[in-house]
Amino acid sequence: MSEKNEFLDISYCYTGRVKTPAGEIPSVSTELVFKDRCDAYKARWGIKRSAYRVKPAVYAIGEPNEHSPMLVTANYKLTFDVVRRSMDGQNAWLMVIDTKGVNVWCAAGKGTFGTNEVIKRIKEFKVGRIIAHKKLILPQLGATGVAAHEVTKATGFKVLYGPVDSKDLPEYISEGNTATQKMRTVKFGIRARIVLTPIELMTSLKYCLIALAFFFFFNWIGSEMFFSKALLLAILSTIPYLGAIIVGAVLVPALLPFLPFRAFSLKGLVLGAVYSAVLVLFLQTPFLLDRGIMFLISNLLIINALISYLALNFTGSSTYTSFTGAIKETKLAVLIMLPAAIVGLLLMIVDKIVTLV
Amino acid sequence: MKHRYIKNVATLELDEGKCTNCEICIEVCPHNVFDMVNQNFTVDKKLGIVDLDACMECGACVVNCPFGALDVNAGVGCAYAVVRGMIMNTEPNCDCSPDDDVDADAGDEESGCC
Repeated sequence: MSEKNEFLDISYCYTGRVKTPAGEIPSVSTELVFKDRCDAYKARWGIKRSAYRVKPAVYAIGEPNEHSPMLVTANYKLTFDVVRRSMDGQNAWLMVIDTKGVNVWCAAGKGTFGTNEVIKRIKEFKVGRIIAHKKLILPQLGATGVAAHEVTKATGFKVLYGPVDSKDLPEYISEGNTATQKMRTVKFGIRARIVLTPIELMTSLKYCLIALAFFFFFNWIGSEMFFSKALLLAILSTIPYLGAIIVGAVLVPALLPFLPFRAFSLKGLVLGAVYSAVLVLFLQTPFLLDRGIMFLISNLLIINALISYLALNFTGSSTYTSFTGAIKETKLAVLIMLPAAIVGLLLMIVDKIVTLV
Repeated sequence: MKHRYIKNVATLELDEGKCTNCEICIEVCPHNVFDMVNQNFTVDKKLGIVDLDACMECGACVVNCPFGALDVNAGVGCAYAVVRGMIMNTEPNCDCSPDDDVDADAGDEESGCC
């Protein structure tokens, strides 16, 4: 990829230029336009997610001078957008460092939003010539990747950790760079959870395709069915799995704190039980076509394992699960889910063989 | 509603001998695991771990502690990474896809990773 195409063209956000001893710096709008919303929408649905990279540079917000705060952020377009929108009406510098188009938290975890990158960019962007004070405001969630004291040692710049949520930035700055405990705490509210569900859904739909292919061959083999009939039956049998994916990838995240148990796989099983009841009572006849108790039980086993697995996967998107906890839960959950799914599959095959002979 | 994950597993440790009560860990911790606590029979406050079960083992405090007073087995609390680590026999990490992965942003919709 050439340097030219590597980054998004964001010149449409430019509102002017600010002259500094380090050269002219483009100022960016604090209002998001239709294109920004489109970018956000596409990224949320997983369309070319890796392509949302802003060119690392210093940008101006409002009309900053050498006494204005210098904020540091990631070069993921959505992050860049929320930060500039949060700074509406403020005068500040926004230093975008190269995190390969990944948000602050994930990039800090990988180390790309890291000590060395911050040090390198301070020098490259001649930050010392843009601002007279020696302070940088980093997002608190970048702290996993940045050792503040090492940045200071290498550059003389003091690293201040701003609020978790960029919309608290104006208040943080006006209070003399102090954050309340609330600003320092990561929340994981309904809205934050809901915006993650499209991508959870998109990445889980592959299981539907697997189910569809499986049911097609399963129905077709050993029968005298026409292709179209076998396909129709396969589509019908797959619909309960689509429902299961919606339960696991959308309902579990949405209802997360209201579901009993701490382990995500158990939270999934709670909804799995509810969904199983719905399946037995309402969905069995239209979609599974009352093909006997064995077929039903085998489907229920696989569906519950799937929902539980999808729920478990949401630990990766949550903001509070510990590493050791995830290891403990995963090891236990896999021991239960995998055999359940295998038994379900075997039951289905045995049932099929029985009907054939 | 405060989210709670599995109890009594966090590996975070504080070496009180090295701690200078500079409070940087209080600043960087996203789950209020640390606080200054009263010592017995004195008015002095010392840094303490007040909510160990809230620790998500992100490692921000360890990285930012200039005195090496904190230790944690840091990593991603992501089951998918754990599963992949078990299959590939590698350390669980956050690389969801070979090249990039981006989910939420650290703006008003902060979130975890993959």
